[in-house]
Formats: sequence, structure tokens, C-alpha cells
Amino acid sequence: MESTAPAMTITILAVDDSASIRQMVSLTTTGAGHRCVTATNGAEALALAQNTPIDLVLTDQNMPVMDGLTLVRSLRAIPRFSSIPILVLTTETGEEMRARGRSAGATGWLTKPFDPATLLAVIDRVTARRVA
Amino acid sequence: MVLVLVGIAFLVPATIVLAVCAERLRRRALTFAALLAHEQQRSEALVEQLDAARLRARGFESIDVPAWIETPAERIENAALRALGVAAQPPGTEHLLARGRTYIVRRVPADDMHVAVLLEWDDSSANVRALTAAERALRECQLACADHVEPVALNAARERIIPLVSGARDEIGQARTLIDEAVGTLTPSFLNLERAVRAQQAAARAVVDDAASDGIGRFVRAAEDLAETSARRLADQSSNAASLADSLLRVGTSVEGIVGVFAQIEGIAQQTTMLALNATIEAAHAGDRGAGFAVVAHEVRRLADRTTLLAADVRNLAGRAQTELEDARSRAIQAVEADGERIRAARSDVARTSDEVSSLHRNLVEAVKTLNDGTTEIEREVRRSITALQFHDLVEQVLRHAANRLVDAAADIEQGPTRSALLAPPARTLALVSPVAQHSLAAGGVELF
Repeated sequence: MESTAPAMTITILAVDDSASIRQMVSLTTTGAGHRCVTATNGAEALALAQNTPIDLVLTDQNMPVMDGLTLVRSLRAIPRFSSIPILVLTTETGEEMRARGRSAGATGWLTKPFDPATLLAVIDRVTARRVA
Repeated sequence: MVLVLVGIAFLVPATIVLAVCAERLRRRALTFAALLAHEQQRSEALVEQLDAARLRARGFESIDVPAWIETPAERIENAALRALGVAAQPPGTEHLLARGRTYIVRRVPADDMHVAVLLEWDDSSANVRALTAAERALRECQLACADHVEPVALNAARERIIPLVSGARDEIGQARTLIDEAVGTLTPSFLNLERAVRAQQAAARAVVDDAASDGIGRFVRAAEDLAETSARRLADQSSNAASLADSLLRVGTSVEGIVGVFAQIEGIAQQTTMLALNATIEAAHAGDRGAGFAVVAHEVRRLADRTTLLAADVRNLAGRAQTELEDARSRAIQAVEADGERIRAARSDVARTSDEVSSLHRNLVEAVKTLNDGTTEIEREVRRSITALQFHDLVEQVLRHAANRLVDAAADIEQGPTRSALLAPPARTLALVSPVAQHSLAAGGVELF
């Protein structure tokens, strides 16, 4: 949605069991100049992350096989992913669930539905924060 | 008298026993009614859960409230009648004949919502055996209610509900597939539209930026400068033509002077001819001595004739040159006049064209600004649409949760129709808290930790 180029071009791992949400995230981020790879659940994302350079992870919470918070904890256990931004994009709004996300090591909590411009702004912000 | 007294002595205890038995029967019937009312409440709670699940899975109105829910009074009455071996009576029947006796069917309010059914005898001569038979009949009624009526009803419910639950799950899955496919088609369409709008907006911005930097104004001024330069060059040419006309005029005057000089030369030649003629005459008078002088006088006269002819030729040539010069001067003057007219027309055209281009420029800038505003609005609407398209993810999760509720309800029913099974905890813990709290499609919040 922003016609301006992103602050920097990064590779984003989008994890969601909904095909159309994966598609929306992918089209939104690639349209802004980023690269995007996708996975349908936490286990698939974890396997993908082993062999792919990832700069930012955007994951749903409620997914089959492995949920989002388990994925966050698993990624944080890998030294390479100890400091990259991991955003949770979910329908869950409960304070308890957010606290669990924070404890698991998530960088931020975005509630669905997402506004494309806001999503891109958040991506730029957490990426810049990491660089800074 | 004795017989009367004996009869009274027998009837009084019998009446007391009958009253006590009747009271016991009434209490047992009430207890049974209360038990059934409890089961009814459990059934109604189950129905409420099913209704809640149905409401969560909007669009599946075919799920019915199970038909096996009867009113307690009818259940008890029918069970009691079946225990007595009597076919169900039409509603409103108050007397019935069973086992050679007449019974009164009496409904006693148990609470606000239920009634208990009592079977009483109107035979005043009934004895303890009859009471025992009636009590046994009621016990059979209880057993039938507990082990027959409820299992039959719950089995019927299970047979009706489980296919409904299974069908609802299939339909929910179908709805999820359809929605996912539709959104999967719509999303790229909206995003492609957004990109096209963005490209259009960039083009519009380029035009606006160009207009803002006065590119068209520069073009207009350059055109005006070019036209003015051309006009000046034309004016210079016109001035040169006028100078040429003046020069031609001066040349004509000079030629006229030359013609005058040659006229004088012609006069001199004529006088010289006269002098030569006189010299020839004088030479003739001198005789032989004048012969040499006569030759000179002849040569002089011939020279004067040639001078006269030459002067005439020059005058003729000068006359033609004057005519040519006058023509050239006239054409030069006409050219000067025509150039002046063209210069005035060209300057007028340039001024008018400049005004038109300036007006076009202003209109273009205004149109581009309007276009820019429109594309911004379209871009905003596309963003809203993309946000709204995510409804399917929310709906999908709500439907999935509703399907899980139905599965839990079906598992609860499948545990068995017995009272003990119903009193046991559900097979699965119902996930009563929905993972989707949103009630609108407004974009969600952001929290950075």
C-alpha cells in the first residue's frame, strides 16, 4: 500500500494455515519490495528456517501440528534466531495469550485483520529497531 | 348390627391403610416426576448447547431441536399406561379401564413446569391386593421410565443428532473451502487493482510535479521567444528590403544623372559634328593645302557620330535599367508591406496560442490534481477491502470452533443413554471460549513488546 520503497529489503517467513492469509501477507510484503517465503504450520516453518536465511518471522497462533507460540520458543532456542523480529499475527486478543507470547520471545502481537500499510510500517519499524 | 360393626372395624383400618398407601404412591410419583424433571433439565441444557452451536454455525438452519423431548406429563402417563398393559390414551382421557378395574388419571402439579401423573382407583371396595397391584404397576412405570423410556428417547436423539452433527461438520468444511477459494481469487485481484492504481498515481504525480515545476510554462515561454525571434528576423529582412528599395531609388537617381551626362555628351558630339562640317568646308576653300585638314575634319565628324550613337545606346540602356530598378524597388516595397502584415499576424497568433496553452495548462493541472485525489481514495478503499477480505480467516476459525462444539456434543451423546452416563463428566471438555473475539472487521491493534 505504501508506494515508497521499504527502509530495507528483507526476507520474511509468513506462517499461517490459511492459504489466503499467506497469500495476502506475501503479496503485501513482496509488493513493498521484500522477499517472502511461507509455511502452513509451525513445524513446517521450523524445518524451512533451518536452511533459509530469514530476517523476520510473521506467524499465526492457532495452527495444526505446531502452534505459533511453540514455533516462537523453538526459533528462539536457535542462536541464529535469538534476535530476529518474530511477530505474532492472530485473531487471539486475550491479555493472557499476549503475555504468553511475550514470555515465549515474540517481538510483537498483531491482531487480525491486519491493515496492509500498518503491517508494512510495523515490519519497517522492528527491522530498523533491530539494526539500530 | 354386629356385621355392621365388624364391617366398620374392617373398613376403618383398610381406609387408613389405603390413605397411607395412596400418600406413599403420591410421594413416589412426585419423586419420579422430579427425577424426570432433572433429566429434562439436562436434556434442555444439551439442547441449549446444540442451539448455541447452531447459532455459532450460522447458515445451518436444518439442525432441529430434537423431537424426542416430550412433556414430562406425557412421558410419565404413557410409561405408566404401558406398564399396566394399556395402549396410550388420547390426550384428555381421565378414566381408563385396566385389569378389570377403572382408574382415574390425575395430573398433579409438581412445579411450575411439570406435572406428576397419579393413578387412583374409584372402586371403594378395592382391597390391599389392588393397592399392591397398583403400586407394582407404578414401580414398573418407574423402571420403564428409567430403563426403557429414557434409553429409547436418548437413542432416538442420538440417531437424529449424530448424523446432523456429521452433516454440519461436512457443510462447515464445505463453507470453509468455498470461502477460502473465493478469497484466494479476490485477494490478488484487489492487490493487482491496488498496484495499477499506484502506477496511475505515480504517473499522475509525475505530471503534477512537472506542472508544479512549470514545465509547460517554460514550453509556452520558449514558444513565445521562438515566435518573437522569427518575427524579429522577419522584421530585419523587411528592413533590409526597405534599405534595398532606398538603394535602388538612389541607383535610379544616379542612372538618371548618367543619362543627363550622356545627353550633354550627345550635345557636345553634335557641336563637334558641326565644327567638323565647318572645318571640312574651310578645308575645301583652302584647296590642296587644306586636303590634310579635310581628312582630320572627316575623322572628327566620324568620331562625333560614333559618340552620338554610343550616347544614344547608353541612354537607352540607362532607361531600361531605370525601369528595372523601379520594378525592383516596387517589389521590395511590396515585400516590406507584406512582411509587416505577416509579423503583426504572427504576433497575434502567438499571443492567442499562448493564452490557449496557458488555459490548457491550468485545466490540465486541475484535472491531474482531481485524478490524484481519486487515486488516493481508491487506494484507501482497496486497503479497506483487503482488510475486510480477512473476514474469512475469522469466520473459518469461528466455524472450526463451532464444529468442535458439535463434535463435543455428539461425543457427549454417544457416551450412552443411561442416567449414570449422563451424570458422568462429558467425554471431552467443551472449549467454551472462542478463539475469535472480534465482532467487526475493523483492523486489529498492534503491540510491540
